[in-house]
Amino acid sequence: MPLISLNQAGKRYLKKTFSFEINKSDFVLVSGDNGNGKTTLIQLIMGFTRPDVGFIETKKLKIGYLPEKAMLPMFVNVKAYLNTIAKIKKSKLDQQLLLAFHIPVVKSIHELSKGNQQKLAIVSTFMGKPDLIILDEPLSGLDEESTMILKTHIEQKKKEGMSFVVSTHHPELFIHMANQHLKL
Amino acid sequence: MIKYLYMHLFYSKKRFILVSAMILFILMMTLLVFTDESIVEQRLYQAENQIYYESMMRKLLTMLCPFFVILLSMDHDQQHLKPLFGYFGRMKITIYKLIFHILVLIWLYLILLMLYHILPFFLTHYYEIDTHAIYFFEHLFLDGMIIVLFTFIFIRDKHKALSVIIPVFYIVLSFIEEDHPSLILFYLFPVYSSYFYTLTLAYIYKICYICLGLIIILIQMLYEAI
Repeated sequence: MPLISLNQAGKRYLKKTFSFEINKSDFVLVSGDNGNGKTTLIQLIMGFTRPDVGFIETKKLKIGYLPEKAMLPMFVNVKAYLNTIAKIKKSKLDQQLLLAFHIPVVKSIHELSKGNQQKLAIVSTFMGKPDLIILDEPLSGLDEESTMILKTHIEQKKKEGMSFVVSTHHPELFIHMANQHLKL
Repeated sequence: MIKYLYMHLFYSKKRFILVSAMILFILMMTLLVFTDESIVEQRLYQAENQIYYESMMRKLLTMLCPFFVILLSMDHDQQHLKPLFGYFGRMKITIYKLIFHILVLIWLYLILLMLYHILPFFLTHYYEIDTHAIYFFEHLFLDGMIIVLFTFIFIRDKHKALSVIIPVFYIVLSFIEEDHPSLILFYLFPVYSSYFYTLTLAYIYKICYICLGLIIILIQMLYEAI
């Protein structure tokens, strides 16, 4: 049984529907121009909004979700935040990724730059044991070096059997990993 | 999860605001408690003094507690919880949020109950500690729960400034209930009033009202588009 199955699911304002399945170890790449429904598709998959037409079937999943704009508690220390997330997700901190990203852990989150906030959000998304990882514009605010680090990390996780849905304006970076490419 | 919610709610600036509000509240209570009567007079008119203190304090608490509660619950809808919805599910996060706010309310009302007794006990010579205040605080706690429920149902992050309407509405309602006790109004909004406070059924009705609110919140949180 697929992890998530969309059957003609869509919103009225979008004027298009989605039909596809996400299976274990799948890598679904979503790309397209602005306003074509990439974020809406992700919101439908996440269950944040219900489809006006069609239906979505999902198994009970643990989804690691990286929103388009990093959503973090602003006035919390980075280290305390990461430790708490690790504790509630019952996992350990990914020191390797944390060190590679050079996130200043002693600062408060609101003191971090946009890029560092994005990196922090990425680290917290990969924490725990998610069945599926959904990344909405993961490269937003990242420099070239961090983009490569993220790409390598995704490749590694993909080899370990993790499923991904990635929405991006740079599909060329992930196309070699994708087994489904939705061009909206 | 409780620790995560705690970290967000009690960040440094908010802690400062809460501590300042509490100090201001203690100062107001001290002013109310302060008396220029002699020790002999205070003891002679012990019952009158105690009744006066209790009625004044209850009015003050009825007016200030809702604002404390709103200060603590207005930030309940936070965007940073969205990524956690995907991992833990909406139900789990909502239940933890509710448990956390109930714990915060218990903490708040225990501090207020403590102050309610300690300040007059040390500052006056007439005050005698009794258990009557516990019933009043029970009602106040349930009112706090009702305010939290209304905040959870109606207040979202985009328009959280509007949350101030809830305590104002509560105070207006409790004034109306004091002057013109109306059963229908009490059925709609069972807020504290010295008239209904003595009825055992009022207590049970409030608990049922809160349970209904909790069910509405759970349904709303599960199906609301976020």
